[in-house]
Amino acid sequence: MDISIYLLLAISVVLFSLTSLLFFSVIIIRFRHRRWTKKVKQYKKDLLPPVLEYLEEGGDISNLEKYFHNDKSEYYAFVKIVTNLLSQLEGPDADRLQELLYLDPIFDHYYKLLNSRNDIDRVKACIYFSHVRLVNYKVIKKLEEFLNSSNMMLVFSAATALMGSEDVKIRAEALNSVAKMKGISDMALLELFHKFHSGEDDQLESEGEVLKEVISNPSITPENRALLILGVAERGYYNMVEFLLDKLKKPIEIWDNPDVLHALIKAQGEFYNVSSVDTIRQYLTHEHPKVVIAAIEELSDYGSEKDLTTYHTLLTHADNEVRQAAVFALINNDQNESQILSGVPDDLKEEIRNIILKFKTEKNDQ
Amino acid sequence: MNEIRAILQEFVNFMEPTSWLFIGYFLFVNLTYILLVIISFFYIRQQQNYYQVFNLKGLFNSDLYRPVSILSPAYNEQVNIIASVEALLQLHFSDFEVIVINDGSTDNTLQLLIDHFELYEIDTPSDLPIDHKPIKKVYRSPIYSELKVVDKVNGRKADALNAGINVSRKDLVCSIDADSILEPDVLVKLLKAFMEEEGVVAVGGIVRIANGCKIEDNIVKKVDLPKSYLGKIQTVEYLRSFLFGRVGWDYLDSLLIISGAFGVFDKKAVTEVGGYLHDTVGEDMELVVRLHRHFKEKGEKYSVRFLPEPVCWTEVPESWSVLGKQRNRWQRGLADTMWRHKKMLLNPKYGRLGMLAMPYFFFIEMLGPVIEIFGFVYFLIVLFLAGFNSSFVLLFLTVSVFLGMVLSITSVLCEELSFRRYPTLGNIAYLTLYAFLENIGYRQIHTWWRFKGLIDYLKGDKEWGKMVRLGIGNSQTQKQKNKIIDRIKPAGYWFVVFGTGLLVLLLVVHVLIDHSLIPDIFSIISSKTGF
Repeated sequence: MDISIYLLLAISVVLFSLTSLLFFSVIIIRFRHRRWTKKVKQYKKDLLPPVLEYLEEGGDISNLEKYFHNDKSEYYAFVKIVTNLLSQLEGPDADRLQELLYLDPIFDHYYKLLNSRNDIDRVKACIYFSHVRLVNYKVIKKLEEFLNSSNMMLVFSAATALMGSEDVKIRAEALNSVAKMKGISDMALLELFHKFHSGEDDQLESEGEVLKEVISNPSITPENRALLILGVAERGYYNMVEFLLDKLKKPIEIWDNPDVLHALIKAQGEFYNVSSVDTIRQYLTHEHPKVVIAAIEELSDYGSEKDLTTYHTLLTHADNEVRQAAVFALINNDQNESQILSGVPDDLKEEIRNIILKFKTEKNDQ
Repeated sequence: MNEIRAILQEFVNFMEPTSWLFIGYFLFVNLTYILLVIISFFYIRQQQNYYQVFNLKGLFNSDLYRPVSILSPAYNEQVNIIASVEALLQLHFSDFEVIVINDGSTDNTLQLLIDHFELYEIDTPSDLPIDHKPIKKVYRSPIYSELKVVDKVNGRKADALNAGINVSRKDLVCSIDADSILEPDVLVKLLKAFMEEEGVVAVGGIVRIANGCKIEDNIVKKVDLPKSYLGKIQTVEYLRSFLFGRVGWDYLDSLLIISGAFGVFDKKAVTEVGGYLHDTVGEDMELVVRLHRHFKEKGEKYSVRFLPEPVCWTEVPESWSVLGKQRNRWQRGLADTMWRHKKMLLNPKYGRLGMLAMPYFFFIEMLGPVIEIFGFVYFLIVLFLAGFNSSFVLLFLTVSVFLGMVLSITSVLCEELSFRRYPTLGNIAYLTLYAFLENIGYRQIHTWWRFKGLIDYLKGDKEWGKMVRLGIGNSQTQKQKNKIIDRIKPAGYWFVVFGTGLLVLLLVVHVLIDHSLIPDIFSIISSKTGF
């Protein structure tokens, strides 16, 4: 036979074997998964009653340890039960339930994963520790180590877990580490920021204090700083109002950035801080359109009649979004179409009319 | 007869020097596929392992996250429209709106919507940054404040989507087909792409086949394989295309396609590039390529992502003619996109896109059918003339079939390791069987459709082609109503499928006889019958 036929025959045999191997792998994986699911289902069936009994009648949590037989699927099933219940409970019941996650076999298992060299195992451990109240010093130390990792997933999951700490400084450090990261998305940072708040209103003040440091960190990108400022205002850290207003009054170095200034102005509006009006007014002539727009938007709500002249002047601004914001501000302050159009150069009148129409449509739409 | 043989022999002689082209192309294509499979296999596992990292909880307490507008263009969709919109309104997400764009339907689509949702007219937006056919009216529903219906002059899907983008008031726009079924948590899952990375401008999710599934109130209750041959074959195709094609390209940061049936885009980015293109039949791919080109040329950091976890279920055609038209249109769309963005091809300025993705789509996906058609014809003629060693031919065919199977089964394996949507072992066995069967007959027909699509593109055909929607779950009932003539039509396709199967069988028997593994049945038959 020709050599090419031998070659093709060999390839055919290899491919046939590979096809069979893949097919049988699929079947084996399916069987293994079924067995695992069955096992987890059984564990859940066995473990749920004692968990509920513990919740209803109390008792020593170590009694639950006898249900474990050093099997990963048991731990998985147990954590799943507890976290599912946790998502439906609040207050003291939730606290007592959280204690269950500290059962020795479970804790030891995840602590081992935390100390593993494999990032995937570490992430699994971080996800587990994000459900528990973080009090163990060794765990916290390990999680803080992960904040310096180059693996963004590990950093984020470690930071998320650290948000379970009662120590506001630890939480701030975690937030700081993520905010410094290049390439972190605004949504991820926002998610972490909302986890930063402990849920206890009496912590708002201390949280506000440490947030001042986080936001002032020069290593944070302007975009992330701006996002944190907006988050602070939305969450209602009122002890930061004056701090942020000061930065707006004297925007030097890291604060002198269009994104940051825009956020600082918006934050004052969100805080309903009427005393910031004069400061914001200075930004109507700022060189960056984004800053001017923020100033117009806030003054449109909290400004006075004397700003109307400025809005009229801004109708001829070089940037069309500034012109649009000025039109919206004038309508918002009860100026009618002819009042708005008076003094507008002829070549801009058509555009301004369209903006007025757009505003009305949006208003009706709302 | 001798004359025909002489002509064919001449053709074979003429093609002889190019035989290495076919073999080289075959190796190149399959090597590329194998590389994509390997990448996807590991990447999908990695994604699964990190899946729980970004769980969205706090974000929904904020007004600073990105809300979504779902754009559902509808043209003569009266069969499905109400159930489809009702299901969209039940999605689990904090802040979203549903915009149905009635693209000049000639049936009852609009009236059904008006009656069912008690729609009332609102002002038509005046600020329309993207160009499209005129909007006649815009409606809102007092029952669902998040529902808007746009009634516009017919202008095809791309035009309808542009109108939807103009009307939308959210940061992200999600384009779907009117008959797409989104899983309730699909938006939350898709949003993870925007969390994982900064600068995401588009994200696609996996499209799965709804034919055969048990569907109630436009929600997939039980997953099963389609009943028909074509449905099952397409299930294998879709798994392969999404679980190793798109996952692989996503890993390489070079994803060029986000399915028109399901994709989320950053509204600002889409508006910046001018929205969907009107005069193309491949508007989904064209938009993604244009986004890539735009941001590459601007030098801005951006990304286009594919996530295999969020699922959109869609009805696929189960008739040969409709499927043929669809594939023809896909090929024309591909060719059109390649032509419009030819500047990117092999252009290092566009990085991996120019040097990897574009050449792949140009040489393998676009020109592939041309080479394959010539290959098939050459193969048949050579076989007819028996000028070739039959063992070689059979082995070459075997290698080609097994390679196809390895690729398809790897996607089934990826599915099994990650999502396990197909619940029974019977499903797995069927998928494996059809991974084999698709190589015999269907693949050749599919190549012909794509080849014809390319020719039609060169002829300037920009027709969408009529897609017959039976309505998911209605296929069986409809089938019974079909006329006899409609049943006879696909006979030609079945002839090719069975013909190819017979040819392969004859080849196997021939080889077995050659090697004296079985008696020479051909001689026995001829001696007994006298033929």
